Amino acid sequence: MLRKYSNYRSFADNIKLGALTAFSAGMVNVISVIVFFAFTSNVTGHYAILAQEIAKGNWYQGAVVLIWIFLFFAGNFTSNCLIIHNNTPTGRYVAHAIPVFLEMACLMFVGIYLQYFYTESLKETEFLVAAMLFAMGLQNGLTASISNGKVKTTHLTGLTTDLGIVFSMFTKKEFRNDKKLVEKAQLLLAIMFSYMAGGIISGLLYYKIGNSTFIIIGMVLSVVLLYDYYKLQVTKFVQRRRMYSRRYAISDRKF
Amino acid sequence: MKLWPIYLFFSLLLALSAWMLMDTESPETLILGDWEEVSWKYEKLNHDNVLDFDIDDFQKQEICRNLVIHEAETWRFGPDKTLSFLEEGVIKEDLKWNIKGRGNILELKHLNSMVEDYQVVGISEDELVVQFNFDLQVKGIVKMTFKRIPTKQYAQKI
Repeated sequence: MLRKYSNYRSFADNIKLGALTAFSAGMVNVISVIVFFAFTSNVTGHYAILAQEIAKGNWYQGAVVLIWIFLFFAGNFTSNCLIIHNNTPTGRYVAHAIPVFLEMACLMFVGIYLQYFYTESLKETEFLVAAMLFAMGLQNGLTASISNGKVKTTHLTGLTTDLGIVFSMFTKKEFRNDKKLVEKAQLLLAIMFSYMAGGIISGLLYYKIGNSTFIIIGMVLSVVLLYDYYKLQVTKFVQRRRMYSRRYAISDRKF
Repeated sequence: MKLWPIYLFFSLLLALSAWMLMDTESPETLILGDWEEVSWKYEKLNHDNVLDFDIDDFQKQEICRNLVIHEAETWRFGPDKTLSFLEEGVIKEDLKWNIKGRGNILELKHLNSMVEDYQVVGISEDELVVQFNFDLQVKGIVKMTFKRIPTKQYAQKI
């Protein structure tokens, strides 16, 4: 999911990454709406709100929204910086894992703060929403960057556009038999349904377990993080075994 | 291509936003004090045969019956996050209040843990405008307008 980069990624890599991260984004977005009355996984609405607040002369609210948008930008910036500056075969997994780790840290911080320190003041609300937007920026920057823009999981505007285009192409028989196009539709649908499922589950869970929902989000992100770590360990183990067996084979021939 | 003008523009924009946040009073501070109900109006209504958008006392009673808010002359927002409804200087009920979102949501918590949220459409030194959706006989949005009662004037009144 995280090891491979750009065109070296397979369809299976993208679908696993897309589904899991979209699920966590859906969860984050719904929980932020329930707790803070603000969306945190997409910024299109925030741009519209910014324009509206400026038009109304609500400078305080406008400034808040502008800083929120900046935090989403900062998340994307940080993510891509980490990826492009560590694009070496040995450091690639770590470079791709750090944004997920930072995202988890941000979301866990929000969860812990909500549970133990939150006094429901506006300043706290603004700060925690900013932290969640930064986390979502990190995630979106990572998935979009390593998949060459194929996987974007925190907002569905572009995805719905792509789905509309892909399904319109399916009205012609030649495109219905195009494997790449079919895979693209599958990927987009997987992201869409995962995002929705994450949102619904988060909405239901929050009323049952409250702020512990953030632990579930953390667990989903841990799967993203540890899946490739496990695979890397297995690959290393197999390589080591092969090396040892080759060494034994050579030493047997000598004696 | 020179990038510094772009960096400069966005840095200035951010600095301006930060300064505005520090310098401008937040809705949470602005709301503190006593507010007198001035008007109740339908902002939107999905009913064509409405001639008057003003809400009369009977309709107000009907709407209030389903909400935590009261027909009260005065709403007092305290710094301890307590909202008191007053009529002729006497407290009718106390609630807990919070401002959420970007300062656009007024959340009211009833003591029996019932929660309602209202949209703060406008807030200034003198005026507070709050909207809420209702679904009673007809669906619509109610706009409540409040005028700030200066502290001295209110003390004299009671």
